Amino acid sequence: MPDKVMIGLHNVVKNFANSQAIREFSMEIYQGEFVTLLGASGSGKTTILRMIAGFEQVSQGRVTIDGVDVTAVPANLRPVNSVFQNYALFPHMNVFDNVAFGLRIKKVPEKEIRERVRNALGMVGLEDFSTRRIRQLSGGQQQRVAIVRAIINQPKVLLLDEPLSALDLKLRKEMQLELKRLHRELGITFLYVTHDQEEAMSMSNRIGVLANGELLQYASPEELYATPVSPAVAGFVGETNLIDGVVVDVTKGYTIVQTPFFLTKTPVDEEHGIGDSVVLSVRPEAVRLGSFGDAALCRGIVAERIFGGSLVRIWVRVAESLTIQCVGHGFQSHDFAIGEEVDVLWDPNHSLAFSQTIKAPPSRLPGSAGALGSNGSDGP
Amino acid sequence: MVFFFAIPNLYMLFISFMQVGGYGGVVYHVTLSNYGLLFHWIEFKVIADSLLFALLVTLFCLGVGYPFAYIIATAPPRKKIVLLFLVIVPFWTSSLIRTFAMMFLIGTEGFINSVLLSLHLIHQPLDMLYTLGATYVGQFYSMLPYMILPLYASLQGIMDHPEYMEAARDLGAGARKTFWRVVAPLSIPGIATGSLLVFIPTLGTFFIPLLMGGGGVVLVGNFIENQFLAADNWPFGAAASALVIAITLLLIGFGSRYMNNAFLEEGK
Repeated sequence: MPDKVMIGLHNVVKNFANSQAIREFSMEIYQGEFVTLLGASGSGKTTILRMIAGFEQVSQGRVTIDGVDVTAVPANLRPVNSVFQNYALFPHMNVFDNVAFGLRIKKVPEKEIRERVRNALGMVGLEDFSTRRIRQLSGGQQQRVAIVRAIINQPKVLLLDEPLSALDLKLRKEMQLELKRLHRELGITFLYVTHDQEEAMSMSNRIGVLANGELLQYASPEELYATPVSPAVAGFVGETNLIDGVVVDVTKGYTIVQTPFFLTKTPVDEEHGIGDSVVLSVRPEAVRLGSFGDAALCRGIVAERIFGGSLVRIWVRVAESLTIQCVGHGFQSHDFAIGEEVDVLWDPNHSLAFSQTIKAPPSRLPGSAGALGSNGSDGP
Repeated sequence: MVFFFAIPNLYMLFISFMQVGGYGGVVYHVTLSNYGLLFHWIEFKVIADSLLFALLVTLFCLGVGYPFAYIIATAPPRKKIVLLFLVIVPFWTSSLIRTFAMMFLIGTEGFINSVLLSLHLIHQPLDMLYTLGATYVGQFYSMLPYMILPLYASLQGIMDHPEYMEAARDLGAGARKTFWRVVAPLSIPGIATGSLLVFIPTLGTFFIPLLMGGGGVVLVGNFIENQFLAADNWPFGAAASALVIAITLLLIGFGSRYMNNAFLEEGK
């Protein structure tokens, strides 16, 4: 990946009438990257996108595109194009005129426009739809037209604001693949906004996790998943078990943590002193259930079991205040029944300890508010 | 509907095919001569004048009403309520009374002339009332709200979906191109509705030309009124009415193709 910065946000602040939506936000996106801003609604991700597009003015700070300061440049003169959440296709024009809109504004000769529109529609398999009215198209087709209408202008950056949220699951998966393919073929920098962590993980080179107008972590999907910087990020990127504990010793590359229910260790990845309160994070797929004798960390009762086809989820109640979630392949986990007593174990190398700043929410069973390991796709 | 609308209109249609009696009244002999008479040049000129009058009043209302409706639709909430209130206030008074008020304003001894005379800007009162110009002003004034309200509704619908304008901006269009290529075409339903609401009553108007034009202005509405009340020739008046209704229906049929708001169905 060439290291040329395509989008730069430098200490950007956005104030709305009576709230601060974005505070001191800095981020760089390299040319050709597929970057996703991931956050719950109200986290400020759409505001960031709109400030790059030029629909919102920044209150403080600078925005650069391809090295040029565009902070004061109006939206119509910025070298970016957008795919809107509701597509915003012009209802009074047919498919061809929608796609040709940007080229006509730039006064490209009509003959060249016909050529380019045909090629662009061909890229998404809509070459025979150029005379259709917008309302005669399905959601997926409208989505493709919206993407083509943007990329035909050869923008330096394509901005996508939750473009797949209106589609059903199957179509969404299809469009994810299509977007990845277009990104590869066109080489345009993509900046994508979503609240769906699975979507973010499957498409992006890098993900910026946002909450309350701040960038919590900006890293590759693998890095985010393996080494989240906080319980909030861990909970947002995939599911996790969060367990309160206190550091009782640090030895041989491990932090020894005492929880109310067991003593365990976790690799040292940040400095913890003896006596510090920490939150342990263990991914459900790292948790093993069975009969482990003395090796077991704790014992519990299977409280809930959800069969999900390829995966089975089991919640084991260790104590009133601790329920541990476990995910396993169906064929390995099918023999645990609700009410059964099981041992719980995980490889210490697959756990993390965070310095405790905010108290982690107690684990709950699925269906109750704030279920443990809240997963981004629960968002609006 | 049947009793108040269909029966009177069908009765008029029926009469229009009858003959007039020697001393007025209706003789029940079927004839097409009433319609033939409409194409005599005087009557034809009245109809042509009326169509031109209605067309120009509609264009004036559109020219003034569109910017006004745009300002309302883009105004901040509090200002919007005040502006909408100003548009709706005239509906509280009968248009006949408002026409009398306007006669008082522009009459020979009216308010405007008095002010201009006392300021010594003019030495003789201006002849404003009882002219064709006064008829235009009066009709324009009484019709303007009917243009503004549908235009406002249409433009507000577009402002409520800012993504269309944002998409145009995003694709490189400046404010002017965004207006002409996106906002104006999307507001066609409002233009069509407002234009019909102004054109149709204006085509049939009779008291504003009578009061503001002082009898010097004869439009088809006055012509029909004369046939019924003065000339006592009901069949001829009925035939003229039937023609006006036919023109109106034609326009509604044509205009309704542009009136549906399907434009804004998408995007949700």
